[in-house]
Amino acid sequence: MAQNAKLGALTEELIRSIVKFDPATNKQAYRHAKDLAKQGLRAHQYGRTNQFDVQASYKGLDEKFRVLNRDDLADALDKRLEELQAIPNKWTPEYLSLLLQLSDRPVENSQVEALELLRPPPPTPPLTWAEIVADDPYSDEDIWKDIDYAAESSEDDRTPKKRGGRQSKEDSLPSSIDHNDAYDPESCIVPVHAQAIQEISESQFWKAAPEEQLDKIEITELQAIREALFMLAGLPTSLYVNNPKNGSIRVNHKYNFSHALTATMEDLLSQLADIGQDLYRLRQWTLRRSPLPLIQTFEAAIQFRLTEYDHEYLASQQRRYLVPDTPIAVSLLELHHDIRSTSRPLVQLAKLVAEIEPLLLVNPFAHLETLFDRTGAAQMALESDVFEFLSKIFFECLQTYLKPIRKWMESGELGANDETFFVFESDSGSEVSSLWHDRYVLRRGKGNALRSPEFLQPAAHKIFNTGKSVIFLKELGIYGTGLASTEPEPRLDHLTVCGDSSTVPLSPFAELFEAAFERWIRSKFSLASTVLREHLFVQFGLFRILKVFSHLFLGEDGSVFQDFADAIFERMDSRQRGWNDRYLLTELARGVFTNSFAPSDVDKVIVRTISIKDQGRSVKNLRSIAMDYALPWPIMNIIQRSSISIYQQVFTFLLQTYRAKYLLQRVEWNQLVRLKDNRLTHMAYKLRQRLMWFSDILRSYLSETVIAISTQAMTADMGRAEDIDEMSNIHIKFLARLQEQALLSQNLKPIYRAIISLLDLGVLFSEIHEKIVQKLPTAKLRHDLPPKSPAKPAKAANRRKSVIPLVVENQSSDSSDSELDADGDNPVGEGSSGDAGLKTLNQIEEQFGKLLPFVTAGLRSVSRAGAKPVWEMLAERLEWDKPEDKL
Amino acid sequence: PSPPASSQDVKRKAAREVIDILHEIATLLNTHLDRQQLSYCVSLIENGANPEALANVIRKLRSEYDASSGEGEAE
Repeated sequence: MAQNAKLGALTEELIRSIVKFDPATNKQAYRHAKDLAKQGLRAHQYGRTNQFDVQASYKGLDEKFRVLNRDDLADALDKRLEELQAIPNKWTPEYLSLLLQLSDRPVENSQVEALELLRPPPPTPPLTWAEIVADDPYSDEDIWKDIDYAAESSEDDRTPKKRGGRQSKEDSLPSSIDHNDAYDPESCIVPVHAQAIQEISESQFWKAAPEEQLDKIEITELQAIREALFMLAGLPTSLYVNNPKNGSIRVNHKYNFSHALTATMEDLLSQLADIGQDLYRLRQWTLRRSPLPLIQTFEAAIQFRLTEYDHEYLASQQRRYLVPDTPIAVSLLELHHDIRSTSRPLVQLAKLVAEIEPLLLVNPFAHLETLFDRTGAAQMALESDVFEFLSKIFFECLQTYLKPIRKWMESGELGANDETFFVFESDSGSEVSSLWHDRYVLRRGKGNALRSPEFLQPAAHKIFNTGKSVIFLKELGIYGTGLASTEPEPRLDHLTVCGDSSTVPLSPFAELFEAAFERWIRSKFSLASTVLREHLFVQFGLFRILKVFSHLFLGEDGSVFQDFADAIFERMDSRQRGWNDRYLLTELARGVFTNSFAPSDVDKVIVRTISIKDQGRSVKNLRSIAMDYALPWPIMNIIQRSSISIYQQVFTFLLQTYRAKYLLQRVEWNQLVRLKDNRLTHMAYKLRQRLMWFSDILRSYLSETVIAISTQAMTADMGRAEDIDEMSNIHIKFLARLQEQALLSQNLKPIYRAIISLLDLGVLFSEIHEKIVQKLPTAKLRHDLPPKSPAKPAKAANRRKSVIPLVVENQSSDSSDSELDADGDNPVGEGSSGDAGLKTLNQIEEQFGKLLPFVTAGLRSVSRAGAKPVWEMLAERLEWDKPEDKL
Repeated sequence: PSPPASSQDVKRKAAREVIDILHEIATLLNTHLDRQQLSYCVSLIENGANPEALANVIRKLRSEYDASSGEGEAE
C-alpha cells in the first residue's frame, strides 16, 4: 500500500506539472485527471518491458535517422545511449521505452542545438585579479603626488577606539593580501618551546608549594644570592619584605635552604638585610628634593655614589655568578663577607644621613660639619676607605658652599637673599664714609654665633674683609683693571688637600683643611688688600693726614702751636665781642699753619666755635674753640667721626695749659719786686713759681709722655696694618690710650677737674696780680698784707690729706671764684686792697695746697689699679717736695 | 584525489547522470518532457509503473488539458 501511496503522490505531482492549472481552482477537472491517471497506471494489462525490444527499437530509430539524413541526431542519440549503458541501472529499458513512446516526430522537430540549452551554464570562470584590476584599478599613481597632510588628522576624529581598531583591521587586510598572495598560514605558527616554559616556572620558586612539615619553600643558594643582590639594589624581592613607609627590610620567613639550618640561614640573611635597609633608607632620602643648593649637592653626591655602587659593584657581582670566567663556588657566606667590606663606607654614610636629617632643616650646614667631623674620626680610626669616601663627598659639597664666598671675595657681590652665606648687606644706603663698618655685617644666628660651618669660622673675618676691600676699591673706581690674579686659584679637593697616598695622611684632617683653606683665601685676599693699602697710604696719604692731625690737635710742633695759642689768647684778652668769630679764627689758624702743611691741607683746616656758658675768665672758656679738618671719605672709614671729638678734647686740654702758662708769664718779676709788702712779694713769687711749674709739668706730660709716645706706637703699627679693619682698630686704640692717659676718661673726671681748677688758680693769680699791679702807682707802698703764716700750718696740715671730697673742691673753686668777684667788686681803700690781694693769694695757695696732693694721690691710686706707669711718673714729678715719701 | 565518497553519494550522482542523459535523449526525441516531469516519470517507473501505461496517461492528460504542448490527437 505504501507503494500505492507513493505512486499516488507521484502521480499527483506529475499531473500537477502536466496540467498547467491550479488544482484548487478547478477541483473537478483535477479529480478527473487523477482518476484518469489512476486508472491508466494500473499496469496489469500491459506486459513487461522487453529490453531487447527496446534496443531493437532504438536501433531502428537510429537507422531511420541516418537514412533521413539526420546524422547529427543519430550521433547524439548514440552517444547518450552509450553513456546510459555505462551506468548500471535496473530501469534503463523502462526509461527508454517511455521515452520512445512519448517521442513526437524527432526527425523534424528536435534539434541538436536544443541540447545546448540543456547544458548548465558553464560555471563562471574564477575571478582573476587581472580582471579586477582591469575593471577597477586600485592604485592610481597620481594619488600620491600631493598629499594634504593637514586635511584630516586622526586627532580630530572622535572615533571610539573600537571602531578605529576595526577600521585598522579592515585596512590592514587588503594590504596583507597585497604583499603576500601566497600566504602560508602555517608560517604564522611559532613552535612552542615547552622546555623553556618549564624552566622558567621552575625558577619561580616563590610559586612552589611549601613543604608540608615546616611549611616553607626550599630555595637554592644561588637563588638566595640573586635575591640578596637585588635587595641591595633597592628592588623588591620575594625573599625580603620591603616597607617603603618606614624604610625597613625584613627577611621573609617562608623560605629555607635544604642544606642549612633555618636559624643560620636567617641570621645571614638578616645581616644582609640590615645592610640593605641602610642603603634603602639612603636611597629614599635622596629622592626627597630639597630647595637649597647646598643640600642638593649633597643629594647629588650621594646619588652618584649609590649609582656607582649599583653599577659597578653589584653588577659585577651578578656577572660573576651569571657568566663566570672561571668556575666559582656559590657561597652566600662569601657574598656576605664581600658585601660587608665593600659597603662599609656607604653604610656609614647612611647612618650619617639618618642622624643629620632632622638637623638639616634647622642648620643648612649640618651635613658639612658632620662630614668634616666624621672624616676626621675616620682618619683617626685609620679607616682609609671610609676616610677617602667621606672626604671626597665633603669636598664636593664644599665647592657649592665656596661659590658665594668666591663671588664675594672676587667682586664684592652678594647673591640676592642668600640665607646661607654669612655676609649680608644691612644698610645699602649708608654713606661712603662709613662704607667699611656699616654697610655689610656678618650674619649671626643664635647666641651670636656666626652662621657658617664651624670649620670656616676662623677664616670668616678674612673673607669678610676681602669682600669689603673689593667693594671699597670699586667705590674708589680702581677696581677691575689689573686686579685679576695671574695665578690660578688653588683647588680644594681631596687630592690636593690630603694627597693621594693609599693610607691616611699623617696630619689631622682638620689641620690639613685649615692650611689649604688659608692658602685658598690668601690667593684672593692678598691682592685686593695690597692694592687698597697702597692706595690709602700713597694716594690719600694716610700718614700725612695723621701728621696733620698731630700738628693741629696735638701740638706736635710746639712753636707753631704756641703762635696759634698766643694769637687766640690775644684775641680773647682783647675782649672784643667777636673774638671767637669762626671765620676769623679759621683765617688765623690757616695763617699760622701755613708753613707746616702743604697748601691743600691748610685749606682744609676749619675752626668751629661751640657756644658754651661763659665761665668768667676760666680756662674752660677755651672749650668753645674746636678745630676741624675735612677728611676724604676713604680716610673717614679709618678715622671715624667719633674720634675727632677725642682729638678736640686733647686739644682743648693742651690749649688750657698753654693758657695758664701764657697768663703766668705775663706776671713780671719786676712788678712783683716793686711791691713793698714783703709777704705779698714772697707769696706772689712762690705762687708764681708753683703755678708755672705745675703747668709746665702738665704740658710736658701731655706732649711728651702721652702724645709723643702713643703717636709713635700708632704710626709704627699703622705701617704694619694689613687692611682697613686693622687700621681703624689701631687708630681707635691709639685714641683710647690718648684719652685715658691724658686723664680725659670718665673715671678720671675728678682728677681732671682738679687739674682744671689748678689751672684756674693760675688764671686767678694773674688777675690778682694785675689788680695789684694796677693799684701800684696809685697806692704807693701802702699795701700791708697780713702775713701768710696762719695759712702755712693749714697748708702743712692739708698736705697730709689724701682725699678731698669732690663737693668740697667744687665749692671751694666756686667760692674762690665768687670771692674773687666779691673782691674784685670791692674796691677797698689802700690798705684793704693790699689785704684783699694777700688774702686772695693766701687762698690761692691754700687751694693749691689742697688740690695738688689730691691730684697726686688720685694718680697714684689709679695707676695702682690700672697699672699704667705714666700716672705713676706724673705723680712722682708732682711730688717734688716730698723726698721721704717713697712708696 | 577525491575523498572516498559514500555509496549513497555515488548513487545520487549516478542517478543525476541518468536523468541528465535521459533528459537529453528526451529532448532529442522531442518528447516535450521537461526535466521535472521526467524525474517524476523516472520515480514512477522506479516504483513500478508500467512505462506504456504511463505514456498513455501522459498522452491522455496532455490531450485533454495541456493545449500548449502543441500536439494534436493524432499519433
